[in-house]
Amino acid sequence: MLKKTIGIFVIAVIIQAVMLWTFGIKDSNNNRFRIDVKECILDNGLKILIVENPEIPIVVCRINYNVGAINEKEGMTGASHFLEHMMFKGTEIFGVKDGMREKETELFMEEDIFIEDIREFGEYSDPEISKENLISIRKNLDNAKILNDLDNIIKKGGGVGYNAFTNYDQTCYMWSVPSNKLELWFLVESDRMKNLVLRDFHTEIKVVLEERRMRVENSPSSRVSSGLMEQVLSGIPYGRPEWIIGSAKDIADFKRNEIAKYYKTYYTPNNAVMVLAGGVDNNKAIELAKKYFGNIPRSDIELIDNSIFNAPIQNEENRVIIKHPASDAAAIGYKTVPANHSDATILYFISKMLSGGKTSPFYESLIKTQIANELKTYSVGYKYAGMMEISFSPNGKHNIEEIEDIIYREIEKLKDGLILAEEIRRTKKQIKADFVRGLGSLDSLVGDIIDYESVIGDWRKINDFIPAIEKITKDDITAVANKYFIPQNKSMVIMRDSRKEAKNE
Amino acid sequence: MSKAMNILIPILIIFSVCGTILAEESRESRGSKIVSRMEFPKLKIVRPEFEKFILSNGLTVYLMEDRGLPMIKMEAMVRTGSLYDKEDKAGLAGLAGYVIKSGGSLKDADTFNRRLDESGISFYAEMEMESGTLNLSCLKEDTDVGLEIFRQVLMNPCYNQKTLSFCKTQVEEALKRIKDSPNSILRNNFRKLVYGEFPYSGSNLVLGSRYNKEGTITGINPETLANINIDDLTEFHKKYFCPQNVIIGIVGDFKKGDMADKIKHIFSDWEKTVSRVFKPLPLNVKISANPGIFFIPKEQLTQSTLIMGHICADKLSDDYFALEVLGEVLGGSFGSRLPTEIRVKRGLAYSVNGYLSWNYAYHGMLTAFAQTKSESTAEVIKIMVDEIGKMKNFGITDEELKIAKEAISNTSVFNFASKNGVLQQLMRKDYFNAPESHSTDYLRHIGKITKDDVLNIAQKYLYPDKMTILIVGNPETQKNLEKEFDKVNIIIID
Repeated sequence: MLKKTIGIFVIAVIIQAVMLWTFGIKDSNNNRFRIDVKECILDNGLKILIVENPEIPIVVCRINYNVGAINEKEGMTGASHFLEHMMFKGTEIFGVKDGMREKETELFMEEDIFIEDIREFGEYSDPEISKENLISIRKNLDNAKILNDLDNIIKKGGGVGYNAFTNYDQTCYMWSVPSNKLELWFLVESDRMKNLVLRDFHTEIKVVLEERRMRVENSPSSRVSSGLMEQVLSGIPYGRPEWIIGSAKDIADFKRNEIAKYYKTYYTPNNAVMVLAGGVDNNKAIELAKKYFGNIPRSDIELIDNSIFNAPIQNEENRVIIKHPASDAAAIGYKTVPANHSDATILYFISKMLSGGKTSPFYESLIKTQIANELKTYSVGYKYAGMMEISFSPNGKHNIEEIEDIIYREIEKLKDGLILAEEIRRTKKQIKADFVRGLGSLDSLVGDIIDYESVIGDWRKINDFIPAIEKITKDDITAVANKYFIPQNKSMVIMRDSRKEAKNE
Repeated sequence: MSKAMNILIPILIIFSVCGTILAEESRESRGSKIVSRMEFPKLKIVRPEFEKFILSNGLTVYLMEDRGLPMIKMEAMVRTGSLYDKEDKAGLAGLAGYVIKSGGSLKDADTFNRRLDESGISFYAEMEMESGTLNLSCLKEDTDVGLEIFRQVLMNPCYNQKTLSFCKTQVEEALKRIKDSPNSILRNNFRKLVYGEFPYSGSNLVLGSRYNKEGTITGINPETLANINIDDLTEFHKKYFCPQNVIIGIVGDFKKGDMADKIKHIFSDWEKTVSRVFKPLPLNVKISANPGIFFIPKEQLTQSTLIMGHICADKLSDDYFALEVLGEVLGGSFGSRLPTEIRVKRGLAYSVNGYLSWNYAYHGMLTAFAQTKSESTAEVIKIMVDEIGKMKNFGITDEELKIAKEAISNTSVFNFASKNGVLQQLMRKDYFNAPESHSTDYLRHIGKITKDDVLNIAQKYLYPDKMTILIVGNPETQKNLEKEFDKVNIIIID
């Protein structure tokens, strides 16, 4: 399952793929493609999922909140991602000197009055006095806080990969600990769930605007892929032009009390799931979960109105052309189904069959022939929507239209049932091998459990994946291809190199 | 008395420079008090068993059982690298890696690729600056297919022209795309400016996407690419791919004895050749071949991407331990100085970091990187240079030393997080002939580092006034930089 995500920290120490030693996989040969997860739900609704392996001296830990860009109302785009950033700024007990917490709240209120003033009038209404005052408030705030407190505590404790990501459906926090330091993880994460303090609020707005410049404004590849989302899923939250990160205007206008309300609404035990894998003892972990999270009250979460995901009917294909100083590139997208739909597995299978490996039809007809330089096919599955994405860039003498024709030719073959038994066999084998490779990395295993739980709705469905793949027939593929690969589902984004035109003029 | 004075003077100076930090450090948060009262059980680490043997032809083999999943992973390290390329064939090793990955070292790449796909095998080959690696992973049921592919690729090369031509075109296309993104422009130009000399100055070209890397071609030079022909590849293989030059490691679902028999059977007729020692050309440049500010204009950018740095220390010197601490404090992670000053305090960047890189056969680099809106480019450059300067003049604080040492020692358990990882470390220690002080004794050495050690090392290796600073930004940024700095060298790429 591939999803577009953005995160807190692009330069984080990347965790090396952590391999499992023997882990919770059942040992009879028939069950070797199944995972064994211990599940426990606390009274307040918090779900705990554990994969035990006492041989591993570390624990990979993640906590996921069911909130993302689709939950954001107009004027608040980017709130989920901004809140993710704020989660790294400390809590009532981390990041502030003991005893200075109340003073800090007063100072926040004073600071916000000045900021509102600047936002409203564009400058200080009384330049000299106000500016001096704001500087003095900030000095006092600096004096109350402890810079990098949480980061340093985690670092000293041996925590690795302290990071997070946000996408349309979820916000997920992750770091791994030496297995004897699990309690540190529980202390920090439970405190972040109940006692967050929105510290460095206005500085972090600037950081996120820098992130927006990097990811959106100055990245040619994200212009194409985000542009495609906007077309394929237009009219529903996944296709909004502000993407996950939000509009620059909304980000610049965030107010502390609005983000605090957002936090209170969604950061509750009944809206979260935690996954721990590695050197963790099931009973001890549940004991710690009760100790640290047990007293956090559940709350009513505003249910999302499903009707907002009813996409408007599209009469013909959408096509958009962008001009940018970068090499020609394009992407074709077909609207498909949410990740939990039964066709989603077949769509994933089709994406692998078309471009997985060096004997796949797209590779043979486009890369091997050197018509295209690069080509990727993804089946993207969200909670309430999905799409098939084929992105590519042409080699020197070739053009986008030429590649497009070949792609349609291969898709028509699927629709006409021109599929070799050998292709199906090969794809099944590749998916099976990739699945086992994925289980071999603790990070990818934990990521999968989180995704299945939060996007598909139940981690147990992981164990249905390989059996469902095994069952796929030629007729399934043909039926699904005919159902989704039609002009009414199709969009295309083309990026043309603006430098070429400049030279021609 | 004199000793006390020595301690006192640097503290006073630091206090005047960053008084607020020290004042804050005098008081703790409630959370940190809770953490310091917590009692953690003793960490148990089981060192996984492995077997090492050397065949009579000199091939070194490591085996480690990992019976959890029906999967086998194999890796071969080959004593080679783009450091040993000839100048008129620069990029040969890098290209060879990509050709091998594409099935080009066999007579028929199509047959090779079909075998990989039919068994769901993943195969990767890459020749870096000072080493070459081949990786293969397959399901247990395909162990023999995997081993046979490994054997053919290592022992029976027959490079084909078709795949070489294909790979060259792919590389040429990727070279054209360097200009698309500020990051790849930086990556392609920075080493050239800093090292200035072949083979160290060659840039690295990444092929494929982040999720599906086709290869990284080190030491590539667009002008010499055309000089490389099929005979060069054959010659390259003959020169480096001989059994006494290769270490093979296999980890996965097998019985050690059975696998040892298989390996002996497969590789024992690999012919031993004359042992040769490869030495790279000496590096004459000391700090940077091109100190100063360099600017590459690119249209339509709203943000500048910048990198600065210079040549640094050799990994194998004992200075390594203090430099490791220095790197951690300077920019290694969240809470380090560069992210703190630029991101946390001022909100001037999302992405900012600083690193000291290490190699075994040649000098590494100090690099600091940031992306900031066009208007704040000069400000960020000044802060970064200033921070590196403070590090050189005043070293680090007691608190920073404590955090860095604890972080380095407490995260070391992650070296044992996977059997595959443990095996790879063993192979690398063997390959680079790393001294004990850099492996088993590493933590003891880190533990001994003092603040003075770090200050001495900072004074020895940091040269904030001799750095190469490279910026990719929109054309208007050039004017701003020219106002702020004496000389800005312009590089035109479009």
